Amino acid sequence: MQMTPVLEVKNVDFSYPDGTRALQSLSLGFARARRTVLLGRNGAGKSTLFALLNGLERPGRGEVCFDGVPVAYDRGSLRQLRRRVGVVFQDPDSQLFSASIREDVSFGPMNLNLSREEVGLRVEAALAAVNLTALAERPTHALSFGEKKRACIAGVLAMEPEVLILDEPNAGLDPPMTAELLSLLDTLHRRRVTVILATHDVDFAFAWADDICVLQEGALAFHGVADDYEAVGRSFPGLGLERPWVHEVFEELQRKGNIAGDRPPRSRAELLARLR
Amino acid sequence: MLFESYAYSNRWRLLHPVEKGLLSGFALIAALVAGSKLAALTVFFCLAALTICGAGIPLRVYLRLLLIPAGFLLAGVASLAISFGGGDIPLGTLPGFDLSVFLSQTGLEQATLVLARSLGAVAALYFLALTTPMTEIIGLLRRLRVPTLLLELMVLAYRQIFVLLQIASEMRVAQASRLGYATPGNSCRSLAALAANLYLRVHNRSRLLHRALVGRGYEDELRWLEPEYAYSSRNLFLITVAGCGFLTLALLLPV
Repeated sequence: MQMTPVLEVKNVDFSYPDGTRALQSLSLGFARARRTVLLGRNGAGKSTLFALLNGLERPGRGEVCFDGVPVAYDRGSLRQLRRRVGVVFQDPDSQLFSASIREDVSFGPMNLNLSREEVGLRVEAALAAVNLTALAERPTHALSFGEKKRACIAGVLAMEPEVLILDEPNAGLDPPMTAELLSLLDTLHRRRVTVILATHDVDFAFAWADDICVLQEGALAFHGVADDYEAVGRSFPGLGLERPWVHEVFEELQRKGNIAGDRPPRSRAELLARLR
Repeated sequence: MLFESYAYSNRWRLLHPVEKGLLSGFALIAALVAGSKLAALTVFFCLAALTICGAGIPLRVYLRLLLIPAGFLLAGVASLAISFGGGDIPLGTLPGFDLSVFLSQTGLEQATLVLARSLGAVAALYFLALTTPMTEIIGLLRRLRVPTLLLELMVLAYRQIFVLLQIASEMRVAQASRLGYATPGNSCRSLAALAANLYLRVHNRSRLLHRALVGRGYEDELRWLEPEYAYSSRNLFLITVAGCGFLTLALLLPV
């Protein structure tokens, strides 16, 4: 028997007031404590899905479930949902409201009605997790884009959600910062936090994720485990998506008999290790 | 932006904001009620000295910042000193009008007093602005029981000023790189487009910000953890002495 997904949308339709149909009969579940990457072109409905998962938007039809229970939209239920599901949006300047990083990070936990001591501890822990402790005294506008992005992540981490959703977290980050972000996400994963992440970077997705979902025009076009490389090979070209380069190189090497095993490596490092 | 960077980097950054606010408040009141030029100027020089020698703001920077209100001050003071139609010292007549311009003795007295008071008040406010970041000044106002709505507006407005400036400067650069400001005509059109676009962008941003705040549990009040500072009884004592000194001077010194 399959475990109940921690978050699930069932048969969800969503249209914006201007008539744009963003999601169409979308059904998709996210398993607890797994790393899921959501792929899809701009406008495929990724951000809309995230807004639904956090209760920021209400589906026109269908329902959103947390732990198998449909989300209600009264104040108390929404507060419960948002305590357990945290979303980091794309643009940091649209999320940081305060000129002080520390104040901004304390905003979420303060809304949880925790004691001041507890809020203080959580803020410091979240700042340390994203490596911002040393910069927390500086005003928000004096930080770089990557630092602001990390501040946004800290603001959500401080609420200690069970599910962390990140909308294109690596957009605009340089490679070392992306690596740092990845190690942070892996730490959270080890603590059994469910991480859902949207990106355009297919190689990154396959190097990191357990599960891969592809959205296309508001519908689910692919949902599988990242290791199922044959299914990816069957589906991705038809969806107009590039396959990860390690998969293609693996196939070529396999054809020539230069690599052992029947499963492609996940990353450059693994590929090189297997070639040695 | 100059205020900003010094507010975060001056030597007195970590002093309790209430202490700094108290001193600034005492000095401000003393400057505004000062009956004599001497008292007001004392406040000005004391606070300027504290800002420069104590908090370590470079003299040149301080003088440059004083130039900002200088224009307003001189214009205001000139209008007090000059009178039309009658006065003690004639300055001449306005060509084309049948009006004589005079400098009046009382007007001059009044003008110099106003100038001295304004300088004292400016020094008091500059002391606070140059030693205390805005977020802490807002924390200070919260202690003074300023209504929450007003404080939230201040927090949001203050942050958004920088966002707005950044968007505007990025848009301007993008326009300039496509010759948007090459001719006066282009400049007019570009500036109009920038203003219209800026409005839309800011509107969109505020929508996104609201959504992000709601996602973090915002209901109807912005709440955050205030940083904690230690009071220094020595400082409080010195500030009270200085404050009482200023007020005594202001009230007792003969005109």
